[in-house]
Amino acid sequence: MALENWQEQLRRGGLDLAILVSVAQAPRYGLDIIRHLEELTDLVVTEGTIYPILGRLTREGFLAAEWVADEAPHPRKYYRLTSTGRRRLSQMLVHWEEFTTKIERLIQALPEGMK
Amino acid sequence: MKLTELGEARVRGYLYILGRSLRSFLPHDVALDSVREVESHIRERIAGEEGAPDELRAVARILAEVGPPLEVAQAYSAEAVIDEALSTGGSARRRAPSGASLPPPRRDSSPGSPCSQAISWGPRSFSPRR
Repeated sequence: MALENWQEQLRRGGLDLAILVSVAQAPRYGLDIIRHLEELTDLVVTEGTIYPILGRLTREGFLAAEWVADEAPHPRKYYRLTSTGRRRLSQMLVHWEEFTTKIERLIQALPEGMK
Repeated sequence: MKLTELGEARVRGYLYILGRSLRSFLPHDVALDSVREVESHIRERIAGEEGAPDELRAVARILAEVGPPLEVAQAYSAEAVIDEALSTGGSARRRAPSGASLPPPRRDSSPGSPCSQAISWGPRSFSPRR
């Protein structure tokens, strides 16, 4: 597998969690989520591809979406975390922490010359 | 930035291709809502380009950053496949949400090998309706 493919898989794997974290504190609309993620990460490569993920997370019940028409010259679709989404986010954070700790432990066990 | 007729046509053309592609596999109302959301994104990006010296170049850059419409449609298609896999528990029913048949699974290893089924759930290959 090419390094780029592996990086892409890693990025995709983290994107669901990153989106849920982005809306954990307050509702955000798509571009706002993208800007927030761009500010802190490089997870968003193609802006338009985040919307299908938002749609799936909504269908799965983790996000609730609502159009707001009177805030800007164009309507914005806001996403907020549902109670199911909040529970899922807590679970994901625990798993993420465990996962990164295990990988970090593996890396630490490598001999010095291999890191 | 207020778009000229040509700039507006570029945006409309992008949304037209995206909408037509999405309607080939998503329910009509879902496709409409998705296009509306991407349009909102594009309009907001354009509004942030106040004073850009070359409108068409700015629009082209924004549309490129949103992603080619077929690539965006493919991403919707991939998520639809995930939906379907989740709703069927990853069973062998390979049908798109709209009921359209999906293409045969990709064979990433030799057919019949123990892992060939498990790894064949790639994103649905996508061909926009002409």
